[in-house]
This record gives sequence, C-alpha cells and structure tokens, in this order.
Amino acid sequence: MGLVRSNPIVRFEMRRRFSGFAAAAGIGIAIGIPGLAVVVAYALTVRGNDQFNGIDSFNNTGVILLTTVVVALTGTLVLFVPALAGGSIASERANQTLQPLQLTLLRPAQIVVGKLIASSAYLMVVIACALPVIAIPYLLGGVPVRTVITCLIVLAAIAIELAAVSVWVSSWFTKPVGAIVTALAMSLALCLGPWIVAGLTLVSQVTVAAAESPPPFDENAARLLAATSPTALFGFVDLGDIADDDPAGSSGRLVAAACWLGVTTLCIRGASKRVVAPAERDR
Amino acid sequence: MIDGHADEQQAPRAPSDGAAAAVSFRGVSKVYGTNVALNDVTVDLPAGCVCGLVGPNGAGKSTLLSIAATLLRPTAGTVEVFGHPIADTAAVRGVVGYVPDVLGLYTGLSVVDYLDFFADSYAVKADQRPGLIDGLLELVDLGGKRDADVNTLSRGMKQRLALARGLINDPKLLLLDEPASGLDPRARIELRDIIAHLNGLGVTIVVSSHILAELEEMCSHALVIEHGRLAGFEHLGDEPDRVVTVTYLDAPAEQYRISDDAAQAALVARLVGEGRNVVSVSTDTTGLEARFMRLTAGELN
Repeated sequence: MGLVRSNPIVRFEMRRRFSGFAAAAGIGIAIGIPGLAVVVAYALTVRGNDQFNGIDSFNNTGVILLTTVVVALTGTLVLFVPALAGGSIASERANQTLQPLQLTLLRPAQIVVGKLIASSAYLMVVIACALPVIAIPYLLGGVPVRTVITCLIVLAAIAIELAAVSVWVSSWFTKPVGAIVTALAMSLALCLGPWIVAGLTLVSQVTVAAAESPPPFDENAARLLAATSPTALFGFVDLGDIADDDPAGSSGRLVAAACWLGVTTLCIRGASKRVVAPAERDR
Repeated sequence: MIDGHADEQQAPRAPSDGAAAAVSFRGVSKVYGTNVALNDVTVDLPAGCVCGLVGPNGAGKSTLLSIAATLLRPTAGTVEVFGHPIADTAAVRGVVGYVPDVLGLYTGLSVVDYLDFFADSYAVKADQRPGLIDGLLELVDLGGKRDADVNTLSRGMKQRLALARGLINDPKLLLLDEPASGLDPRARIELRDIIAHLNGLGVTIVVSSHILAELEEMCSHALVIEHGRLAGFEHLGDEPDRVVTVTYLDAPAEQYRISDDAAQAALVARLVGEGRNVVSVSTDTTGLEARFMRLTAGELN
C-alpha cells in the first residue's frame, strides 16, 4: 500500500495528466471514435433489420451495438494507451529529470507505480466519459445492465495491463518516440498475437483432422492460446440468453485472469528494475 | 626557492587539518567498457570544506560526483559519505544534495510546486514544506518567482532553482557539477555568494568547474583529476600566496615563495643589502591556476 499511499508521484503525475488541452483532446478522441462507430453500426443494423425483418432484430441491435462500441473502445485503448504511457519514463530520461528523482527517497517501484496509477486514472476517466456511448445498447434494450458493467470493468482491466506494458517498454528507452512506437507494437502484438496464433493452430488442426480418422480435433488448445490476450478478458462478459453461453470456457477465463495479473505484475517489477539508479543494481 | 614546472606532483593526502572526512574515496575506479573513467582514486574530503574539483574535459569529475551521489557504482574501491557506505543509498541520499550539470527541471509547473514535489519526495512533512520552501527561495533569491512557470525562468534562475532542489533535504554535503556553466557574470557572483553562505552554515561543498579563478575565490581545497587519476589534492592555504621572480644583472633569475607585501619588501631589502644587482621583481600567484598547470603539466601544452 506504501506504493500508492503517500506516493508523491501519483499526485504529481495526476496533476500533469489532467491539465491542459491534451488531456481534454484525449478524452474527446477516446469518446468520439466509439461514438462514431456506434452511429455507423446503428445505421447499418437498422437497415439490415428492415431488409430481413428478423424476429430478434431489436435484441440483436443491442448486442451488435454493444459489440461495436466495445471493439471500438478496445481498439482506441490499444492505440491510445501506448501514446499516453509509452513516454512516461523515456521522457524523464530524455529531459534528464530522472536523475533528480532517483536521488530522492522514493523507491523505484514507487516511481513506476505512481506513473502507472496516474496513467490508469486518466484512462478510467476516458472510459467513464464513454459511458453514455456504452449505455446506448442498454437503453435500446436486449442487453442486461450487468453486461454493460462487466464490459466497463474488462475495458478498465485491459487499459491497466496495456499501461503497465507501455511503462515497462518506456523504462528501456531514452527517447519517448521510440518508446511509444515500441509500446504500440507490443500492445498490438499482445492483443492480436494470441488470436492469430490460436487461429493458425485451429487451421492446422482442421487440416490434420481432415486427413485422419477419427479426427484429433481439439479446440481447447486454441482457446487457451487466445486466452493469453488481454482481450480474452471479455470472456467474463455474460451476454445472457442472446449469445453463445460461456464462449471462452472457465479454463479460458482463468488463463485470461492469470495472464492479466502476471503480465501487469511482471511489467511493474521489470520497469522498477530499470528505474533503479546504477549504484543500486546487482546489490 | 622553487621552480614551478620542476616541482614533483604532490601525492594525494589526507586533509591537513585533521577534520573528519565528509567523503572518503578508497581505491575508486570506474570503467565503462574499455574506457577507464576513474583509476584508483584515494582521497578524503574534509567536512566543512569547499572543494574545487578541477580537471580537463573527460577527466572523470562528473563520474566522481555521480559516485558520491549514489548515481553510479564504482567498478572497484569503496566510497563513504559521512561514514555511510554508498551502498546504503537511503542513508547517503539523506545527507547529500546533488545538482548535476544538466539541470533536469520539469516544465509546466510553478517554482513553488516544483520544490513542493521534491520536498514530498524527500518525505518532508506537509506542514513543514511551506516554511522550508520559503526559506530556500529566499536563499536562492527566487522569492519573487515562486508562482512563475519553471519554463519562464532564465538560465541563472533555473540554476538557482536546481540548487534549491539540491538543498531541499537539508544536506550536509552538496555536490555541484559545473554550476556556473552558461551563467552570466552577475549570476556567477550570486552563485558564489550562495555557496559561501551555505558553507558558513556548515555544508560541505564539492564543486566542479572549468573557471579556476572562480573556484579559487570560494574553495578551501582543490582536487585535481586528470585522465581518471588523482593528480593532486591540496589545501589552498598550505602554500604561500605568491611566487616572486627576481632577475639580476649578472646572475640567473631566482624564484622565491613569499606570503605578503611585507615579506616581499623584506626580500628585496635583503637582496639589495647583500649587494646583489637586482634588475626587477615580478610577482606571480601560486593560486589554483598555477597549481592546476603544474599538476597537469605535460598534458596541457
């Protein structure tokens, strides 16, 4: 708790994060993109429903809009978080402000956690500001309130993990631009990589299964691979009767939660080691 | 009688006044890859001194200061700051203030907020911070700029703000790396006055600079480093203040060390009384500049 309470970095970084035009612009962009996505998705869905006049058209509209807004927000976070947190330590090095910090009585972990908390707090505000957009599917009906809340929690968890990864990447760099670009690449790889690998695994299994009898097809391996992505945390979202129940499986959710905790913790520890002054290393 | 250029380099030695060491370097070396930044430096810097750290560019001055500040770990040797080994970083950082050559100030903050943040980072209690910051701003003459954005300060003001940051933990040892670089004459004079004031309060100060005349005015000791080696460590009061060169009509010139005008007058009277044909008497200082040239002779030509 000492890392959070009485941590001057938290207050200092929060003040900087939440002031100025950039802070407001960031929130505007973060809300604007999902908002636009919802408008487009709504227009397309209503048009589709008119054409096919499906029985569950209204319920489907809510689910489609929720999925759209969540995907748009997740995509925005993947792009936004590295830009926000990727330069946090690298810019300290570039401006040569890290040395004076290292000389204070602050522990390296306090510096890292302080920066992570400040970034995360800003991201929570961004997500909270997007609440009206997320609430549209609920207001249209067909989506339970608990589903909307779970989506918000998962989005927050994804934001924290990506922020931790970005801060860790930042701790390796002396220039913020390099750190931000690398953090972006890392975030994309972390979010999409497991799904791509899982997809390739499924394809290869299907190919083998077609040639053999009985088929050794087992999609659990692919599921578990995909569960290492932060986006697999959406497996915790319960869509009720309107979607396939338990799409990720309980083991998948466990893997997703464990990966979230592991990646976040390792990134904080790794970044703390990088922030330590050379005189303290290898002691 | 001396010949400055023929003098042997003085071996590093413990402080002559027997004072306790503020910083003690024992066989300290620092190697970056194949580059030896410091090579077996052994010296005690006495508590209460103002020590000028001089040497050519790349001599290892900043490395030495960084090691004492706990920012770097020596490759070999031990360093103690007021009896604390530098491995005990928390103890050392509690008594050391360090102002690097690059100021590293946050922008977008007011002067008072900047210092408040660092006071907080040094665990200064919230109710003590306003008084502490006011005192520091008065000391560095930035009281009128307390609400100004750090970015709007002049170079000299930023230097003084960095100095205030270095003093925020009430250090017993203040390390200043090239504090006068980029300052105008007025700012340099003000900085010198602040250093003298702090030393008067009992703060041990180690200051590196290329401006030897300035160091001479404020320093009680001089530590000369060249190519990572300790070329000399001297108490600036140990030697006479000046060297007098006497030229004769019929004999080679001679040099004498003397302390003051009275001694110089007595010297001239004695030489004339001995019947020597004195043509001229010229005076050279044996100050830091002369010592530096002597200690680093052969490398600066």
